[in-house]
Order: sequence, then C-alpha cells, then structure tokens
Amino acid sequence: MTRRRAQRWTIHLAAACMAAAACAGAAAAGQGAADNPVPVVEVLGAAQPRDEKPYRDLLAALDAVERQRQLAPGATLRFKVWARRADIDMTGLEARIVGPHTDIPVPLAADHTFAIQRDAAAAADDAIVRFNRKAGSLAWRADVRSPGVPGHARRLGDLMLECAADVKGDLFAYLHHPVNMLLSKLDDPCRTVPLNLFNFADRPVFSITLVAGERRSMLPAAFLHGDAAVPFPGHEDWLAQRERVYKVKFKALYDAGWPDDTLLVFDFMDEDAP
Amino acid sequence: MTGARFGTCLLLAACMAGCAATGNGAVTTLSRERAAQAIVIGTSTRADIEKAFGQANVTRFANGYELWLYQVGYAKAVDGIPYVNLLVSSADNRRELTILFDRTGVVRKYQLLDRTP
Repeated sequence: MTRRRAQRWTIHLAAACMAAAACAGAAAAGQGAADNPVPVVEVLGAAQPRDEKPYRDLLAALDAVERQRQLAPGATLRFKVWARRADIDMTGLEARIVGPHTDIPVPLAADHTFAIQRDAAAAADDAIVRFNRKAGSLAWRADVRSPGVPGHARRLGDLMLECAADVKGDLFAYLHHPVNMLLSKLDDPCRTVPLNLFNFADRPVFSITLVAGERRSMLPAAFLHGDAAVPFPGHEDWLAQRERVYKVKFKALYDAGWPDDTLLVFDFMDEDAP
Repeated sequence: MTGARFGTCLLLAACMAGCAATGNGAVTTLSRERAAQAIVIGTSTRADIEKAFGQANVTRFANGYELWLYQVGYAKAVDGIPYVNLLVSSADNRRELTILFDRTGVVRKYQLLDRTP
C-alpha cells in the first residue's frame, strides 16, 4: 500500500470510528464535548513564525465586499482576531504591515478589530499583515457592520459580506487547503455552496432567532457552539471560542427567501431573553 | 474494503445514530406545559433535570456555563463527522430541548424547539 493510500484510509477509518461513536452518543449522553484539549507542541530553538496573512489576501477581501456592496450599502469592513487557544494572552497585541521595503503600523481597537487601507506599494512589496504572536495563535475573521443594527443582533446581508471576505481573503484557518483554493475561485461561494463556516458572536450565545418582519425561526442546536465531534482539532480555529460560535447556512436561508435585512437576534447566555 | 462497502457502513452508522432520542425519551412527548413544570428557571438543578429527562449530551464552556441537549433524531455528533455530515444533519431533527445551566448548576434558560417537516 502506498503512503498516500495509507493516509487516505487512515482518514476513512477515523471517520468511521467517529460515526460509530455518534451512534452511541444519540442514546447515551456524550459527556463534555468542549473538554477535548487541543495538544500544543512548542518547538524551541528557531525563530518563531508570527501569526500573519498576506496583505494581498486582505485586499482581495476588500474587493469581495465592494463587488457585493448591495448586500449592505452602508456597512464598513474591518478585520478582527480572536484567541485561537485558551492559553493565548491578547494583552499588548500589535499588528504591522511588513515587507522588504514596508513597515506600517496597524492601529488596533480595544475589541481587536482593525481596518486595512489600500497601499499599492505594500501590495507590490508582497507585504504581510503580522501580529506579535506565534503562528497559530489567532483566529481571523472579517467584521462587517451596517449602521443602526441593535447590539444583540446581526444583519444577514452583513454576515454574507463577512463570509465573502473570509473566503476570498482566505481567513479561515481550517479551510487553508486545496478546497479553499477552489472555493475562493467561485464568484459567490457563500450563496452557491452549503459551506460549514463558524462565526463568532460578540458574547456567549444561548440561542439565535431569525427575524424578518413577522417571520421568525429559531436556529437548531446543530448551528450553535460548534461541532460536538472534532476529528482534527489542530485544524480548527474556533475551539477556544466555542460558547460564541454559530453557523449560518446562507445558501439554505436565501433559497428559503430570507432577505438581506433579516436580523439574527441573539439571546446571550448572561442576559434575559430579548 | 471497497468504496461502496465503506459508504454502506457509514450510511448504516448514520441510520443507527438517528434511531434514538437522548436521555430517557421523555422529551419525545414533552408538552410545553409539562416542560414549564419540570424546568424552573433559577430553581431547577442538574440533578432535577437528569431525574426528569435522563442523561443529556453535555457541553461545558470556558465561562463556567453548561449546556444540556436532548435531541429526538440524530445526535449532534454527526454534524462534525466527515462524509456522514454530507448525508444527515441534526439540524433536521424533529425536536430538541436545550437547557443552559449557570456556574452554580442551576437552570438559567431553556428552549424546546419543534421543527415542522
């Protein structure tokens, strides 16, 4: 058996084992889905690579938002980073756009959001946006906000733009493989492919209700707090934010006629229901 | 093992996962009135809920809160399994009961969700 074939069957076997575990889990309770610790291996001796993204990828995210601007005409695009592991200290976080001939500080807001300005020289310099944290420390997401949206809600059109920016900017850590390369080539991957992408709420969330006029629908538990089974935790960037995680199935929602102005109304864990 | 045989195994596993309800099965026929009696926000404890509904799928969060999930149909575990999650999703379940416990182990919120086919 070739090595490639052996690897493929290892993945198949892992999937089968997980499927068998799920069978037992439906009848007998599975305990502590959030308790699976992510093993961390620190390699000492060499200069540590920093958590970074190509500047051009972030420009591609800006372009994606501009192409679909009609989804959220008054919205602004920022980027946001989250701790990818529980042991990551976000105190003193700093970012810079750096390249052979580029060094531009990136102002960070208190909530770890930041804006990216277009700079042709930085793009030509193959610059990168780099944080003062080791590689794999941060989860990156686009942050699109239309004015006038209540603090306990997000607008569907804004989230669609975030998805477009996340995919085109290659921000999802767990999609950084050939599949993502293919997705990023699609014109409108968020609306045409049933993606399983993880968003982060502003606070720990208990439930989410879609509201469009008189129409209401609650999201099922399947879309909240991430997956119960995580076959490859080292590939995921959302595990440390599990209490905030939610999925939006854009294709299904738009196919069902939910408009861009639909609000996702959050019932946060630590407050009374809205 | 051929690809077809492997696919059959996965399908069988998925079907088996969908043949059960979490806990003691009480959620299957739970009315909203009965739920309001059995689950008292600010009062009911984990022990009370386990006595009424059996063992749940439990998710513990870093903030100290705990979520108990009872599902009629597929376990949420299927949603993260490669290949299987292409065939089935717990989002299609007919009914689910979600209960949030605060840091002291007392019910803070709950939600009984029915899905119209």
